[in-house]
Amino acid sequence: MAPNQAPVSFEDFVRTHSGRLTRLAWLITRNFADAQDACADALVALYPRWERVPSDPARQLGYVRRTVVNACLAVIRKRRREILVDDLAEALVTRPADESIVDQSLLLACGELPPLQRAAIVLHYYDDLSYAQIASTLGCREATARSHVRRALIALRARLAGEGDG
Amino acid sequence: MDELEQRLRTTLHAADSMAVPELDPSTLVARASAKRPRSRLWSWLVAVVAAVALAVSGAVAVSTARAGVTVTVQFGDGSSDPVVGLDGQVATDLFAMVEDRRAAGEAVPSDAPAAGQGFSGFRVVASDAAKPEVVVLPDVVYVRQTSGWHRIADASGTYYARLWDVVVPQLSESDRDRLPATNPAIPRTSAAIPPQVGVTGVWELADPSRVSPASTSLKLKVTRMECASGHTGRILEPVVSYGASDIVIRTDVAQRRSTADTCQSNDWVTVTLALAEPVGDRQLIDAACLAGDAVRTSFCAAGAARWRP
Repeated sequence: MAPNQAPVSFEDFVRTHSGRLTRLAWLITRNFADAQDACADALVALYPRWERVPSDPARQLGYVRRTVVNACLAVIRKRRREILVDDLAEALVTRPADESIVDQSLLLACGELPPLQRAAIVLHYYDDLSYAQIASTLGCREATARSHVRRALIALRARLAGEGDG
Repeated sequence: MDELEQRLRTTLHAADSMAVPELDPSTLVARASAKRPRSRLWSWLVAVVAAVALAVSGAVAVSTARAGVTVTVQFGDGSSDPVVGLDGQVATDLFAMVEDRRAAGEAVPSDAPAAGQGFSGFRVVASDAAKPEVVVLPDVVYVRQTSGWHRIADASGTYYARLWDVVVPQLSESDRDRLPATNPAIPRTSAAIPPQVGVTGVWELADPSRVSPASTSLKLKVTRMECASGHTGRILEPVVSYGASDIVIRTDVAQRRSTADTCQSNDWVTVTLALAEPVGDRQLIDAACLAGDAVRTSFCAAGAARWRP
């Protein structure tokens, strides 16, 4: 941690990181309106105690990311009987060039993972977090974080193999 | 990292190029500042008031639930007449409308409504004895009061249309075939009408020219029907029903928390729908234009079919 590091203001943090946090939330919730709500709810909750958020940039982002991910999982739980349309694929494939990058069947399969496995996959392969960091973000042990990722990969392989047979 | 993991990484990182509107810090600060801490006494008072309100509303809800309302579709053709339940809110509105017209002196003494020879309307009966028996026909409503039957003219068919919209979806296909023709014409579908799961949304095809009998996915544009200050918002997963000659698609939207909205047109949101089977030689039908609050709006003025082979 750099000594005498000037704390980043709440406003500057939002301007710098809200875009990426919204994309992260979108990959987890699979619905843009929910992703925006989760990010906004998390940041609104953090504002009153911003001075207690770590000032080190990496730790600060990790702290906020944990709040955003928890807000995403809460939003998913609150949906109850509502099944919102998965608008992520629609948003990712907006140009013909995107179709070669975005693996639609893999994207759809990710959307069918249970929320915690989906969050673990996104944190590991999108946000490039280690298992220790995933565990800290999800509030679980490192072994549990590894298990979430491993089970998600098994489910994805089974789903994609099944489509190949069909 | 194996091949699947590599594919995952590439696909998820495509999100980096997604344009997302950034959150406005001042809006977040304003929201956070509006959530001021309250004193413990205030919180206690609010909790007590809320508990009392909940108890009262619970008693009312139980009372309402016990007072069931049924509708008998009087075909008068010798076969049995189906009986369906009437939604609580629709029943409340119907009885309120009747009471308003009676209070205005528009209920005229009459003979009992004719029955037994052809279609003779919807007969509405409440288990609550305080509610009158009502028979609703396309242009007149009969009300049984203690002094006998009375009739209320309804040239616009308001009562009939309202009941039609909630009764028809509950009928079997064969019973729907027995109903007289309506205006506007509501097509009979081979597929069942998917149940409403949210608030009414209507849809159209984003590009009808790209649909063919071989199509297994459809790009739809969906908009919320109710006033929502221009924002369609959350769209629920479309519900699809497949029949021999049509595919009926419902695109409901999620309940909104806001109530004070302006009524300009709402935005159209694109949704890709994967079908369980190819379109084939079947019409694509918007379920919202078969029954419900959209039927008599401009959204359904051109009918319920959105594509024909």
